[in-house]
Amino acid sequence: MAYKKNRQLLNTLTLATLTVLSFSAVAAQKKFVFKDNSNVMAQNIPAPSEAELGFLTDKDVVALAENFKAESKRRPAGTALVATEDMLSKEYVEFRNKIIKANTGVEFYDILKSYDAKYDQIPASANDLKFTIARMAAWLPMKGIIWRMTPMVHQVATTQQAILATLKNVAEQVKINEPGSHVEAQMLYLSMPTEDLVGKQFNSESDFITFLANEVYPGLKKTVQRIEALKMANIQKSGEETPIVFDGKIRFGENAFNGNYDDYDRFKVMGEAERFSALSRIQRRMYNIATLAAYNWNGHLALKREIGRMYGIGVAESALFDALPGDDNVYLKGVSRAQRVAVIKKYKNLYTLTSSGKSWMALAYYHLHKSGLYLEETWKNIKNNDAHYVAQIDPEVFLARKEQVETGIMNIKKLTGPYGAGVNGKTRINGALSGDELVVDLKGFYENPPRDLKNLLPTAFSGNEDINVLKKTPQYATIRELKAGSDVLEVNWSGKKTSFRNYLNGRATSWNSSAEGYGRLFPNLKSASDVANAMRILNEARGTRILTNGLTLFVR
Amino acid sequence: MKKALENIYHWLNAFLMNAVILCWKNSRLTLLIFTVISIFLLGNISKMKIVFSAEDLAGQGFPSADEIKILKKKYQDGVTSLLIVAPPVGQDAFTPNELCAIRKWYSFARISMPEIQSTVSTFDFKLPRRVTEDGQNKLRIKSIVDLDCEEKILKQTPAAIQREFNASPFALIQEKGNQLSLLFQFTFKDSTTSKFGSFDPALFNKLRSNVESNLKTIVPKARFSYIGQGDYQWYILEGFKYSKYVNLGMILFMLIGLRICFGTWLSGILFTGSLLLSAIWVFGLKGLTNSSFDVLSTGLILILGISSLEDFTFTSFEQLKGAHWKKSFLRLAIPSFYTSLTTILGFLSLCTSDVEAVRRMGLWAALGSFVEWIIIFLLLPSVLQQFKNFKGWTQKSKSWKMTFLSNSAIKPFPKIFSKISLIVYPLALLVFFKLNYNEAPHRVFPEKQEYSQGLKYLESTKGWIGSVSLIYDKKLSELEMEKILDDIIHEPYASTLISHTESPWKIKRWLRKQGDLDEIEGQTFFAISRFHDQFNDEEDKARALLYLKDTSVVPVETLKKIVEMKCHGLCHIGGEIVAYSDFAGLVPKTLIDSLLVSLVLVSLVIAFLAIAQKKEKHIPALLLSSFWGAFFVIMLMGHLHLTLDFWKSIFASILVGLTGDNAIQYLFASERKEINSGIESRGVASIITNVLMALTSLVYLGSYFSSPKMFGVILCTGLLASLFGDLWLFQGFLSFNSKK
Repeated sequence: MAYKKNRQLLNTLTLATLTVLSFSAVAAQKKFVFKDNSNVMAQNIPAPSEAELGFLTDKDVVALAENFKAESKRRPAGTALVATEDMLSKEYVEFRNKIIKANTGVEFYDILKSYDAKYDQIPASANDLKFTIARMAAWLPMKGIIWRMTPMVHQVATTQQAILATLKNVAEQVKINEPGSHVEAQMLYLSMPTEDLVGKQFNSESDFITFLANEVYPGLKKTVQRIEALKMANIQKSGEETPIVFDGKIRFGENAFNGNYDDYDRFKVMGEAERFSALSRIQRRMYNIATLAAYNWNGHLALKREIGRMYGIGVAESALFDALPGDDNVYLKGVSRAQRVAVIKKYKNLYTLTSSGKSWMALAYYHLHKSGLYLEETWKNIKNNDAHYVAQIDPEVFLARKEQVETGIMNIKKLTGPYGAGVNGKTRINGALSGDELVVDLKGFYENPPRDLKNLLPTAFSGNEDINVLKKTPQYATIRELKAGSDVLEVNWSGKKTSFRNYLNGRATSWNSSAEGYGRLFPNLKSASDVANAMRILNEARGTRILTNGLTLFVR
Repeated sequence: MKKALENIYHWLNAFLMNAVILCWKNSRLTLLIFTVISIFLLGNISKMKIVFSAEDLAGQGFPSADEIKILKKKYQDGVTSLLIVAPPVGQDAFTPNELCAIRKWYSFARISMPEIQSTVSTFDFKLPRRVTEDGQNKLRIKSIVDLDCEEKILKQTPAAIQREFNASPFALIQEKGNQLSLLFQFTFKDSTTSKFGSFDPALFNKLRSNVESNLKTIVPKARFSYIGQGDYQWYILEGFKYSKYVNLGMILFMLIGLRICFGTWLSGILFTGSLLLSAIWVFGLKGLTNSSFDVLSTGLILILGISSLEDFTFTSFEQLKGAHWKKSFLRLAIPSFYTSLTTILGFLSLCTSDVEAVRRMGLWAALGSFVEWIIIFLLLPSVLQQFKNFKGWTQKSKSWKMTFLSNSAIKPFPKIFSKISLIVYPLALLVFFKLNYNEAPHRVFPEKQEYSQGLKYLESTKGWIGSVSLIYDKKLSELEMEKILDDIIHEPYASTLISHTESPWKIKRWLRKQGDLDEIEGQTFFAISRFHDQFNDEEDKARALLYLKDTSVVPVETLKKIVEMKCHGLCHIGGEIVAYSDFAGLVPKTLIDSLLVSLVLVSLVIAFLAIAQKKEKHIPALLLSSFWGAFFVIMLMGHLHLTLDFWKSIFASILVGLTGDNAIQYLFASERKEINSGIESRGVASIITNVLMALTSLVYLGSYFSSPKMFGVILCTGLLASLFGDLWLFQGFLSFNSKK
């Protein structure tokens, strides 16, 4: 009885709160105009061909890896590989001294830009500088990037809040941890507008994707071309080859370290392991951009806003029920998966393949394949060195023991290794815990990607079926839903009652297993519900993180 | 018994003669067999393992040598090259420009070789310092040589830097004066090779070539000294390589000597040819049986040449007297077999030594002597058989006319003189047990040699020439360890021997003082420094380093006893110098044992021959004369206080083996007559032979090492003294039985 009264009170309160919220939303509209970009035309950027990228062929990459052997014959390993200031070329020292003295973003940009422009004139005796410029030039398109993104991220309050808090935190940390260093200049470089950027802010998601595909991607392409072509040694006039060394001052600023010629942690010899792992990482960045460029992202922020609002309402509801007795109640449901999927599906154009999308997806696989190849060659050549080198393996891919990395590399090779027209991408992956087998065709998936990524979302969800089985046990005399369809259940032992929440309620149970869904990626799916099983095996298997990170968003 | 000996003698002689004749008769088959064997053995020479480090030389099962490997692993000692680069005379330091260029060279040099395990240089010594920069208190780890190579500035004066080094606990960087010399230590990983044991000279060649082509061009007037343990071994290997020039010198000397004595170059070619073939057999067999080539082996060819010259010269003298070559061989085959036998027994007596290298030398020299006899008496005639008109390799008309060596020259000395000469025996016995064995590893090189010069520089600038490890066998507190070390260094003898000590607690204390660090900070800074693993093993058991002013055997052995006394079973000393000292401690035993065995064996052979030839009454005279030379040299060495090392310790038994040869020749030359007729017949030949052998011994003077140089002089003196005993004193000893 008391419960009923409380329920009425709650209903009243909820209604009142929602009314207030609606008013505040109307009031907010006066100050801020939300732009739903979901109907804005998606970018249509033609994907470059593999030939246009001009990267080394697989055969050339394997041939380049021969340098590892020559290198290991030339140099000591581990702690004996001590790098010093004396090993830097004079051009590198000149650059370092300039860059670490940069006070503003403009200075930082001008220095980088001028060195990038004269990259080809840098002598072979300063290949250390070339390696650094090749990598740092990727900063060039990033000028004022944070400022350029503001109109876009302002669309979503939660995103804006989160980004704002993060950026303020970073800025504060820079001032605290690296006072007076050029890192401040770098922060300004990323966050401050410059005259030439006025009018170039990103207003829609596709503006940002276009920027990535038209400016960042070519920059990365140039970086790969430069690093692939570089001889990883300073070649002196006498023909003698001396190692390339990186000076940590470029990263930590002029006040860092003790000022000794061989400061610990400051100087690091850059060899083939560094070149190969850098190339693997950059190829993965290009893969990410290619994947983004393949689909229409307009409406993504609107969707986030809508879902955010759903959570916001949930939060408000929760606050209203704080005064009520009991640990749980039927009115608090969170935002269920089914609800979210329903919302996402409303955005018809979102996540759909653009007209050049298929080419970009094929290119994305190409980058993934290259990244895997560079990773494999790096591992092959450093695995028998001491632990000092194992750090070269990207923690984004592996955080594991040697034998686990070995298995992971095998899986990456299986998944991304098949390459070329007519080559079948189907391969078997086995879960590390269960040993269960899963047939995956990553190549096939990227060559014939789904026209709509929303097809990967679940199609059916469970109610309280999972808990029903408990009703058959004697101690659960009666279990019933407190409210029809609710995930809160009541248990009754001869009048002794209590309630509990069925957390399995609302879980996804079925997916699209056709070619437009998971059918291409997992060709041997037994049923529409088998996708969960496939994901489990994929999660268990080593080296599949790149793939699972993306898919999990959809599967769950 | 006598009859039995006579029968054995006749049977053996008949067997040997039949063997010789059989080979001659089947000369082509003999040639074929020898050719096949020679080619096979030639292919095995390259398999020979070369050893020169103390641990390899002493051999397995030698405790202090075995421990070296463990110490290298425990404390990351590795194989080390230590290079000291000192400014030119009159200069206190290099200029900042030069220092920057040198540092740059070092930066690249140390990462240019994959085999490098670690390096340390003057530039790498750092100190924790509390400083104030821009009003901010900071803890900086600053290099003591604070060099700004962008501005080319040395931030302190060289004298101030050296003072700082002198206040440090590191013996390596301390100097007696204010001169700032630079030190570079390159430690190589375990560089075991199948050919060179625990040392790979290729690494050092690479480093040295880098120094020559790069560093020396930066500071051409600087003084360079290599004084590391690995450098020592590198110089030993240089000596090994140099031995080929000594051997070549011997061959040239023999070619000329035999040309002068026998009138033809062919005589020298035949002898040196047979000697080279013997060398191929000996080294081929060494390779085949995995026997090592060590410092003693460098003199093997020379000693084979000296010991086998006799067989050839006596045969040549027969031809010079007009005998056909075949006849000369038939006359000399048997006596030469017995002279070779005494030489073989002299060498074999070295197998009684506890030193593996000496045993190895004895065994292979004995085998070489036997091979040489086979080649001269079985192969050489088979070769000559192929030339039908060949009569002999001597030409009297072109030979040196040795008219002054007429029979009058070999007249006996007065009886009284021979009697007086016997004083040599008691005098030799008197000094025998007082011979000086106080050698040091570095004295294997002559004083003017680079390594010796480097050590001299080290001694004059730093006050020490080598170090030993004081290893704590149990985990003790630093106070306990320090107390033991203090007890040792305050012992009166040890205090005069130990120049510096290095220990973990001294380093920690220094770090704490310099950086104003507390206990935990000091401990941590030490733990992360490169010195930690050089002083503490994986179980955190520590060692201290004792730097010695003298690394000779006696001081090191004395120090070892002092340490045993002070350690009470908790610690001991070890390292290469200790191993060498233990190893050198076996030298006296080698000398005594091998001398006794060779005396007994050679005496038995001479007695056997004398009995078989019914001249047993001459046995005392034969023995007294045969061994007189060896005892004379022992007496001389005792009185001249010459030091003996394992090289020189082998002289006595070799001399005994060689000096019995003349007596045997006289016995055979006078088979059915009085022994005096033998002396008349072969006296001149024995003079020429011994002089040739003695002069050939002097070829050792050209050796890279100092020990063989002295060995050559000892052998030369011994051979001349033996000649004196065998020829002139022998006649006097013979007269002891007569009333004249």
